[in-house]
Order: sequence, then structure tokens, then C-alpha cells
Amino acid sequence: MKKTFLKRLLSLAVASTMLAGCMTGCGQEANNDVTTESKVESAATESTVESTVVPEEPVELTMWAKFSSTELKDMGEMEFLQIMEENANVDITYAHPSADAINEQFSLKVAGNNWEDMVMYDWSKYPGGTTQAINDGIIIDIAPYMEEYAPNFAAYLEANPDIAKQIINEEGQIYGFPCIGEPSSAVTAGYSVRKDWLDKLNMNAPETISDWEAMLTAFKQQMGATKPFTLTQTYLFKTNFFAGAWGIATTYYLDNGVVKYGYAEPAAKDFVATMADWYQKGLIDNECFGSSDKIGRANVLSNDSGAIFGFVASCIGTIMDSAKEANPELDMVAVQYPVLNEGETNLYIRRTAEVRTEGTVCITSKCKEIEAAMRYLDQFYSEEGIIAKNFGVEGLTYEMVNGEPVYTDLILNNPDGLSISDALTRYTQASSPSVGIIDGRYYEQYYVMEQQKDAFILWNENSAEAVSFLYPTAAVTTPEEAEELTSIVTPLETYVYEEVAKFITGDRSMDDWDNFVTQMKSMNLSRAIEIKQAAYDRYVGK
Amino acid sequence: MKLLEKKVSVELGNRDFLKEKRKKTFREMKRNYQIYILLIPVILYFLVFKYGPMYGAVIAFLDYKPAKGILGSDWVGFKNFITFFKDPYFFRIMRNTLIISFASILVTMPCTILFAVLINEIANTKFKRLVQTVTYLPHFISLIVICGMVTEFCSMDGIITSFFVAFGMERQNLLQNPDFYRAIHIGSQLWQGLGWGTIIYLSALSSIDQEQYEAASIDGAGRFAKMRYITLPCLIPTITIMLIMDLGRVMNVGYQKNILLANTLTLQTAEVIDSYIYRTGLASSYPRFSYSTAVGLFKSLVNVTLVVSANKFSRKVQGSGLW
Repeated sequence: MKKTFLKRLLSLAVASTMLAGCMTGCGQEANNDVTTESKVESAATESTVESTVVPEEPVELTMWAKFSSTELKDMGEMEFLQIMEENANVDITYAHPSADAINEQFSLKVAGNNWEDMVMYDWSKYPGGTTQAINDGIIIDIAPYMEEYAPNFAAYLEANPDIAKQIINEEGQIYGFPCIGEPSSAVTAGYSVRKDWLDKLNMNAPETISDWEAMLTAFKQQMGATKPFTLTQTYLFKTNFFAGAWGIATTYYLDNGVVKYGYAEPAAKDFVATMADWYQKGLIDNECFGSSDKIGRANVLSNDSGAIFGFVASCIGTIMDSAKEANPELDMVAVQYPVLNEGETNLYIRRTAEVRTEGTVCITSKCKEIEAAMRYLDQFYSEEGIIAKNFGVEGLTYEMVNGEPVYTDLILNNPDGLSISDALTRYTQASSPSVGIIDGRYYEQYYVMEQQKDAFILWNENSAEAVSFLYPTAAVTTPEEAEELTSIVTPLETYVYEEVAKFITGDRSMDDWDNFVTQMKSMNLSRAIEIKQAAYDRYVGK
Repeated sequence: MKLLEKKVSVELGNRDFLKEKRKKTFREMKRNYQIYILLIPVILYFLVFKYGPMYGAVIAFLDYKPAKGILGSDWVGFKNFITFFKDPYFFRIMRNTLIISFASILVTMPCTILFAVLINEIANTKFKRLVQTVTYLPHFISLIVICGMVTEFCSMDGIITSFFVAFGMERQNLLQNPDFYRAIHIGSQLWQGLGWGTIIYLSALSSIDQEQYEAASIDGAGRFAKMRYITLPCLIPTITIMLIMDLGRVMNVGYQKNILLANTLTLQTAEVIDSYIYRTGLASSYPRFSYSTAVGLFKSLVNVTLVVSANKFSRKVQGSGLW
């Protein structure tokens, strides 16, 4: 009797120890994944910068920012940032959200109203926009401090009034330090196809919609591709740039200053009918609704697909890299965004605005050391800061050759086996949207393959004109409008995407299109467009 | 007059009785004060971690603006609830939630009970242990991995698809067909939880008095007769408790599986309350805090109502319930 009792006691003890073990394990994991907070020794180790007279202890600051490198524990370990911190005499403690759930985690910060001193995020997504964030007292208006503490950024805005317009609001307030790119590098994604298949079939790169159909059919029939055109559902109906051939975009866009919604335009019917036709003929991947970019690339590598949409680096670059071993014959070529008739131009392309809102750093009202934070962030707009952001540390990640920064082998042929894009996120912030200015020179070295260089030039051909169709992210709604817009748009988009998906798969006949448009319009679409229009008018009116 | 006197005396008696009872309790508490001190941390735990956060639920009745805080936001009464009831997708979400939930109870419960009884019938202990261990294992696989497997098996050339194609189904991606979503959802749940669910029934089965079976054998009862007349009746209290507990979870289908398996094509049969709250409350770029809290509160209200009425019903009909 006593023995059994002891035995039971023992097993209970073991079970509880295991439970305790599990819990500590979970705790640690959560720490690593979600909010790795660690202290950065500002006494940076072997930096070559001669120490300017440091009169006092470094100012302690905190920062919340997305960080995608898996090589490092947190941003504080990046060499060039350590130097930047030392120059500004600050000591930054970082907190990183997990990259996949950044929107949720930002929402939780909003709901809980707890903030670091500096927060890097797409602040245009704050309910009501950046101006509302200032009015709510979440972030501070930095305009009054600009001249004194941020001379470089102030000078840059003065020299670039077009960009300044996207950052300074109607009342002259400035919400933060954004990420800025050059217009010539605004398009980094597009369609690319299998060059080796085109050569075998003796075909030219497709320009028009009918070229595309002929090519995809040939891929299917002669090259044995089971899903000639691989897509994700996002690129099938949320942002499908084939719609541009019919002169519409699949989202909200501008037509000579008038806001329009693509699926409500008459041309949308022909566009969707073509997609439906291709889908039902098996030219478009019939499993695209559960597909992902990764699956798409695998489809191309395994000869199941011959056409894909993607980025210069993550699509063409990754496919070509993996093909060296997996499929040596494979060759990719970028093609221009498709048009209806030869000689036309598709202007509804994937173009980003010069101000990449997702990398904006704002100073929150919790920050007590505004001057230190401003001085630190301002460096990213100085000449040295731009080079540091894009090229890293001289002697380590780049060398000056004839006055131009050139990446060293640490980036281009990483000894630890990192790909160029992984090495860039590890040592620099050139390719990750973050505070500062993107240096166009980095692309020339980043896109090492000929195919990538060609793609980059080809896709950017029409980028200057395409901007006029882009609904500017800086056009913000008032909080009341934002609330109304959300309550209209959420069910509306659910409806539109579900029905368009049905039209494409053939679950709903194209004859029913007019009913679909009527139903869509009855869901208060016109009011949504009106709100967008008002926000845009205010934006251009200033 | 006499009647009144009687009433008064009864009331006085009652009061005395209550007084007496209170005194007794107090005395009892005083005597066993050590036990009550031990209870304090538990009470504190519930107050701090369970009842404290409930305060936040008031934002369902507010036009909650994080910058203004809970106290500073405006009261809007039931506006958020009404918005939800008027949502064009309200009926769809409710229908999906209820169908998935009830179908899941209807399928899972009998399967689990049957399986537990079958395991109980196995005479060979080694084989019995093996069966138990093997069927418990899926419970420990992460949901993400399960969903990854389901996606793979249900794809165009997946193993499950191929199985059905052999029986004459048209080859397709099963996860893109709204007619199959619920079956896949419940099927994968059953596969994962079947073994684990038997534990509670097995423990109930082990407490059945073996003498009953012996007596039945002497009376000439076979295996099925014993199952029918001894095993199942002895399981009824456990089954009732499990059923009541399940009813308390009817509206909680969970959003994880939904987000991992559903897509635009299947949303019409897949979207449930939990995934809707997640999409409108957190994942959207304009999070509607008050609105999604209201939806969540409504969900809890339905759950509580169901569990309380099921319990009442069970006590009336059967004489026993969860409490």
C-alpha cells in the first residue's frame, strides 16, 4: 500500500517537472521569436570611427521594428547600426515583432497603448492615418524640431518638394522619418517566362493578350506543362496586372484625378471572362487558390509551369539560383506587362510610390529624449548615412572603388553560404524597407544576373507615367471616414473576391456578370469611392 | 390570527435557523482556518487573471479609441451588436459555426465512445497499450503540421484525392471545393482527437464493477449484451458531462484551422465566428476593436446560455448534471 502511494507520488513529481520544463521552454521560445529585447553595448567593439568627444553617457532609447534576418538575434548586432548609434551617442534597445504577424502585433500595441520611443511600421495603416496618430497623441509632430535636430532630413525635403508633399500634411506637420526610393527603381516586380521553352518553340516574348494565350497553350500542349501559368490567388484577382491591358486596375485607381474601382468598370467583364477562359482551359494553375509564392517557384523549377509573377530578386533570382542544380536547362526572361493590342502600353503596373510607407520610423509621445532620437534618425539622410544604410561598413561590406561603393565578397560571395539577398539583410538595410534613402547604385550590384538586370530595366520602362494611376498612400481619410470606409469595404471586398473567384472557376456563369455589378453597387460602393475621392482631393489640394 | 402567528413564528424560526447556520459556518471556518488560507491564492488568481480582464469587455459597448482609453471613449450602447446582426454575412457565419460545431459533436462523440468501448474489450494488454499509444500520438502534432498534411493530401494529386478519384470522383483540389470544406475540417479533427478523447471514457470504464460482468456471464449474457446492458448505461453520466461541456463550446470553432485551410473559394462554407473576429479585429489594417469584442461577447453569451440550459435539462430528465 505504502509502496503504491510512493510510486504515485513519484510519477506525479515527474509529470510536474515535465510540465515546468515545457513552460520554461515555451517562455524562452516566445522571447526569441516575438520580442527579442536585448541591450546593445554602445561601446561598439572595433569600429574605426575616431571617437568624437563624448561628453556624457549615451542616451538610452527603445525601438520597435520589423527585422527579417535570421542570422542575428536583433538589429543591435548589425555593425553599421552600432556605428550609427555611437555617432549619435545613443544606446538603443530593440523589440522585434515576428515578421508574419506584424499587423496583429501593431494592432495590439494600439489597443494597449504601449509604445517604444521609436516605432518603425507602415504608419499610414494607423486607423485614420498619420495625421490622426499625431492628433491622438500617439506620435509627435517633428516639424518644430526639424531645423535644429534634423538638418539633413530638412535639407532633403527642401530639395525634393514632390516627396515633401507626401510627408508634410495640410497643417504643416511631419509625422516621421520615411523610407524613400528613386522613381527609376519603383518597379521591382513583373511577369517572367521560361526563355528556354520559348526558344524551343521558336516563339517571341509575348506582348499582347493573344500572344500570351498562344504561348500558354503551347506550353501546355508541347512542353507538357500541367499548370502553364502559376499564380497565387492574390495575383489572380486582388492585384492582377493583366487587367491593365483593358485599361483598369483590380483595385482603386486614378483616372485623370477621378477615383475608380476596377471591378465596377465595364471593361472588367472582358478581363474576368479571359481569366475564366484560361482557368477553365487549364492554362492558369487550377490549384492557385491555395498556392503561395514558394509553391509557384517550385512549379517553374519542376517544369510544371512556364510563366510566373514575382520580384526581380525573390522570383527570378531564386529560381535561377536553384535551377543551377535542379534544372540546368532552365532560363528565365522578364516580359513587359501585357497589353490588348500591339503598340499599346500597360500603365496599371506594380509600382510603389517614392515614399515607401512601410519603413517609416515615428517618434512616439512616450519618448523623453526627442533630441537624441531625432539626431540618430537624421543620420540616415546624410551622405554617409545613405551609404551606410545601403552598403554597410567600409572595409567590411564595401570598398570605395573610384569614388563608388562596391560590395565586398562578404556580400557577393558570402563565406557562410548566405545568398546575396540574405547577406544584404544581414549586413545592410538596402533591401529591407527601413528609415533612410534607397541608393539606386545598390540595385546594379544586387541584381547580379543578366536576366535580373534586364528585368529591372524592362519593368521600369513605364514607371514614370504609371505613377499617375497610383492612388497615393499619403491621401488620408478622417477618422470618421475611415470607420465608415472600413464598414463598407470589408464586406464589399469579401463579396467581390468570392464572386470573381466563382466567375473564374466557372461556378458562376459570365452571363450573370450584370447582376454581380448591381449587387456590388448596392453594397454602398459609391460611398466608398466618394470617401476615397474626398481624401485624394484634399491631398492634391494642399 | 392564529395563522399569522404561525407564519411569524416560522419566519422567526427561519431567521434563527439562518443565524445558526451562519454561526456554524463561521465556527467551522475558524476551526479550519489553515485550509482557507490555502484557498486565498486560488481566489486571487481568479480575480486577477480571470475576472480582472473581463473589465476590458466593456469596450463592446463603447466606440473605443485606444488613444482615449476605456474611460475616455464614448458609450454607444448596443450599436456594435446591431451592426453585427445587420452584417450581410451574419447568417452565413452563424450557419457555418453551428453546422461545423454540431456536426463535429455528432461525429466525434459516438466515434470516441465506440472506440473506447472497443479498446476496453481488447484482452491482450500489450496490444491494448500499443493501440492506445498509436492513437494518442496525433494529438501531439501541431495544428500547423496537421494542416500542412491535409493541404498536401487534398491537393490535385494528393493521396486522399486519388482515393476518391478511384471511386469515380472528378480529379480536383478538394480544398478548393466549398462542398468538402466542412468534411475536411471535421475529419481531420476526428483523426487528431480520436485516441486522446477516449481517455476519459476509458477511466470511466475501468471503474465499472467487474462483478456485474461476472454475474451477467453467469446469466448467459454474451459480449454484445454486456456492452448494451452494462457498459453503456454505466457510461451515461460521463457522456452527459462531456456533452454539456461540448455544448459550452459550440460557438468556439477556433480560427487557426480556418485560417490555415480556407481560401476565397471555400469561405462561404468555412468562415466561422472566431475567424471573423480575427479578421475584423486584429488582422485587418483598420482593426475594429469594439466591434470584434462585441461579436466575441455575443459568442460567449450563446455558449453560456447553451451550457446552462443543457445542464438544467439534464438535471430534470436524468437527475444529474455538470453542477
